[in-house]
Amino acid sequence: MKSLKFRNATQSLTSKLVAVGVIAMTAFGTHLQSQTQSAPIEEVTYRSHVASIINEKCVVCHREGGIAPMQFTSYEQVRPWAPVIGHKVERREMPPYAYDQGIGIQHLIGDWRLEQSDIDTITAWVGQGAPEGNADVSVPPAIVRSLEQWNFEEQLGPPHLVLASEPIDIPATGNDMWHRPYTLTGLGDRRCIKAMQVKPKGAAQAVVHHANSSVEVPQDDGSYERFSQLTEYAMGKWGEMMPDGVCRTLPPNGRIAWDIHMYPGGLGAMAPGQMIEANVVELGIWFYDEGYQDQARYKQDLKLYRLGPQVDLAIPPHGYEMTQGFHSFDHPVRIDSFQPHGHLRMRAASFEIFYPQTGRTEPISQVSNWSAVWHHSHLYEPDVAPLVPTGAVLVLKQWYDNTAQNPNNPDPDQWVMGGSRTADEMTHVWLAVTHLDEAGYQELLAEREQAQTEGNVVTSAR
Amino acid sequence: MRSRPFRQRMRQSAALARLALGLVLLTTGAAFSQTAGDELRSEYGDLGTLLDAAWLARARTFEAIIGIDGSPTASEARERFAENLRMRANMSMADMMVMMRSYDGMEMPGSYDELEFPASNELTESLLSTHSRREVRNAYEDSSLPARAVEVLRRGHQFETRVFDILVAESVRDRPAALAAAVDAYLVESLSVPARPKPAALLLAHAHAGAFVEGFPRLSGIAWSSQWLRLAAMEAIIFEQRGASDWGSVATVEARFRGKLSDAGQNGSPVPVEMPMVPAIAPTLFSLSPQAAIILDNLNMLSSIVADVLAYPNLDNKPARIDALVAEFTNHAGSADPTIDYLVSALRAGIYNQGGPAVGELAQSERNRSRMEMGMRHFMIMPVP
Repeated sequence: MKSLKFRNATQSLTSKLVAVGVIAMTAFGTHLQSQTQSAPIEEVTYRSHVASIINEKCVVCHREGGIAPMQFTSYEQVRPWAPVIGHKVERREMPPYAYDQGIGIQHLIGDWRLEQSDIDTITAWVGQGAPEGNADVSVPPAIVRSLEQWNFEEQLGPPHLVLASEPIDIPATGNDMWHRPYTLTGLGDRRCIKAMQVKPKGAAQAVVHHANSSVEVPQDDGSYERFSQLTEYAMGKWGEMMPDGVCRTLPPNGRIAWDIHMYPGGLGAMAPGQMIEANVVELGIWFYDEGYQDQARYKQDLKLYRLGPQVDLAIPPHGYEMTQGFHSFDHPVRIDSFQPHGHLRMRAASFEIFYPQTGRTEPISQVSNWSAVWHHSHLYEPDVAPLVPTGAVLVLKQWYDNTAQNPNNPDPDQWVMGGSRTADEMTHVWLAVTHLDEAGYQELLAEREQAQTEGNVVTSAR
Repeated sequence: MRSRPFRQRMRQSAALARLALGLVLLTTGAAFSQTAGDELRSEYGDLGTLLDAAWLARARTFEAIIGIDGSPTASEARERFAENLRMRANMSMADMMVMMRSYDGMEMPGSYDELEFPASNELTESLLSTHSRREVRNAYEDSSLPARAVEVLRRGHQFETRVFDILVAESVRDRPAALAAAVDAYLVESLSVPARPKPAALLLAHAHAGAFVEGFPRLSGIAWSSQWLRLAAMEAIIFEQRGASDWGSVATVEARFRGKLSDAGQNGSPVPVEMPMVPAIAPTLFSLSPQAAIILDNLNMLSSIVADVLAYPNLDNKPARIDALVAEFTNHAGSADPTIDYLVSALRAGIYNQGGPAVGELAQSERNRSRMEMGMRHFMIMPVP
C-alpha cells in the first residue's frame, strides 16, 4: 500500500496542484448548477486526474463480479455516479475504511483511506460536471486480481500452507449455524508466521460471518490441548502481517480448531436464496524462513480482550449502551493491531492508553462510524505502533445504538443482549501484542528517539 | 367486452371533469409559449417526430392496458395474473429471487400475450410514424384517465418540451439559469409535481408495484424505451451543444431507440428492465439542473404507477385510486427523499438495466447485484485495499 502511494507521488502532486485552484467549489449539489457560469479554471477531467484514483482505490471492488454493487471500470460506468462518488468520498464513507482522521496513530498498513488531495480532485471534478477530458489521453487500466487470489500474494507469493475447513452444506433458509471442524496442519517443525489470511472459498463468502481459528497440540495420551489463538476472520477483514523480529508460533504436529459462524440463505451476494454446497473456509499461512524462529526475539500473539462480561450486555429498545474494558501487562508490550468487534448495533470504538505514572491518557485509535460489514484490523506501522510500559492501562470503549437512527439496525423495538447470533451483540477487541522485555522496550524507545533526532520520524500525513 | 361500460363510465366522468378543470385552468393562463418545441424541431426534426410519437404512444399505452385488462376474452388470463400477483405478494425475498433466477436469460411471458402482442405491434408502428401536430396535441382527447391525471401529464409534457428547447436553443447562454427559470415557472402552475424527490418506495413498493411490467412486458418495454429516448435525447443534445458529439450524438440515440423497438435491443442497446431515470440516463442534465431532473423523474414515476394501477387485475375504483396518486404526486408539502437517496436509488437500478447510456458504450450490465439484493444485509465481503 505504501509503495503504491510512493509510486503515485508525482501523480498525486499534480492532482494536488490542479485541485488547489478549485477546492472552493467542492460542496456537492449547490455548485452543480453554477458549473457553466464559473470563471475559467483548469479543468479536472476523468482521463487526466480522476481515473487513476478510481482505478487504484475503487476498482478493486467496483469491477465485474466484484463485491460492490456496480462497476467503475469505464467513464460510461463512472459518470452517472459522479455526484454520489463526490458525496461519499468527501464524507470519507468511501472507500469503506472507518478510522477517524487526526486522532491517534494515522500510519496504518493496508489503509484504504484516500489522501485529502485525491478527495479534493474528485470533488472538484464533480463540481465541474464530471467531464471526461481529452480522448487522446489514455487511462492506464486498473490492475485487478482474481477474486480467488490471496491478499498477500503480490507481496509474498502464494501461501506456504493452505488449510481448509471440512466442507459443509449451508441451507438456503434457516437460523445462524456454527461449524467447528478440525484440520491437521501437517507441519513437522515449529515455524514463525509472517502473514495469514482467512478466505471463505467461492460462494462461502456470502454466508460466513466470522471464522475463528486456534491451534491445538497433541498430548501424550492422544488428546489435543489448546496452544493459542491463531487468527480471527470476520466479514471485511483483510488479513494479518507480523512485523519483523517477532514470532507468532505455529507449533509442529498441531491441528486447527475452527469456529465458523454462518448465516444461511438469502444474505449472500453470490448465492442469495440458494443452498451453498461444500462450504469451505481456507486459511493461508506465509512463514518466515526456516531458522528465523531461533532469531526472533519476541513472541507475538493475537487475543480477544473483553470490554466487560458479554453476558451483562443489554441494550434497551430505542436506547444506547457503552462498554469499557481495562487491561494491563506485567511486562512491556507493543500493540501491533487493533480490531474492534461488535454486530449490528455497534457504532463506535476507541482505544486509549492510560499511563498511571503521569496521569496522562493517550488516544491511540478511534472509529466513529463503525459498521459490522467491514471488520478491519488496523495494523500499525511498526515504527509508530504503541509501545506500552509495564503497568500502563489499555482503555477500550465501544458504543451501541439501538435506535432507528442507526442505519444498520434491523429492529429498534427489540432488546438486544450479549450473544453469538448476528442479531445479538458482542463487546470485545482483537489485539495483536508483541511481548517485550524491559531491555527490548528501552531499545525500541531509544531507536524511536534516535529516528526523531535524525528527522526520520514519520509525521502524520492526514 | 367488460371494459366497454367501464371505459364509457371512465370517459364520461373524465370528460365532465376535464371541462370543469379546463375552465379553471383557462383563467390561470398557460405558462409556456405556444411555440414550445419549435427550437427542437428546427434543429432536430427527426427527433422531434420521435418525441411527438412517444408522447402519443404513452396515451395509447394507457388505453391499451385498460382495453386488455377489461377484455372478456382475457378473463382466464386475468385470473391467472391475479393469482400470480397474490402469490408474489406472499413470497419471501429469497423465494422471489430463486424464481427470478429460474427465468434468468429467458423471456418471461406476459399474462395477456395474445392480446398484448398485436397491441404492442400497433404501438411500435405508431412510434415509428409521423403524426400531425393536431394529433399530438389531442393525444389525451379521448383518454379514459381521470382529468387531473391527464392535466398533470400534459403540463409535465409542456415542461419537458421547454427543457428540450432550452437545451437546444443557441440563444440561451446560461442554460442552468434558463432551466431554473423553467422550473420556477412550472412549479407555480397548479397540478405540478414538486422539484423534491418523491420517495422511491412510492414506485418500488406501492400496493400494485410491478403489475405493469409483469402483466404487460411488451407494452411496458415500449413505454420505458420511449422514456429512455426522451432522457437520452436530452443528454445527447447537451453533448452536441458542447461540441462533444464525437463521443455520442442525437443520431446515435435515435438509432439505439429504433434498435430497442426493432430487435428488442439485441444489438447492444437493451430494452429497459428498470424504469429509466435522469441520473442514470441523462447525468449531465442532472448536473445542470437537479430540480428539472427531479421533476421529470417524479412525472415518470407517476406515469409508471398509474400504469401499475391500470394493469392490476380485478381492482375496483381505479379512477379514484389514480386521483389519489395524482394528489400524492402533486403535493408539494409531502415527504421528500434527500437528493442523495434519490440519486442512489435511481442509479442502483443500473445504467444498462435502464436502457444503457445515451452517449458512450456499455456492452453489458455494470451491475454486480440486483436492486433487491442490494437491500439485504451481510452481503459485504472483503476485497483487498
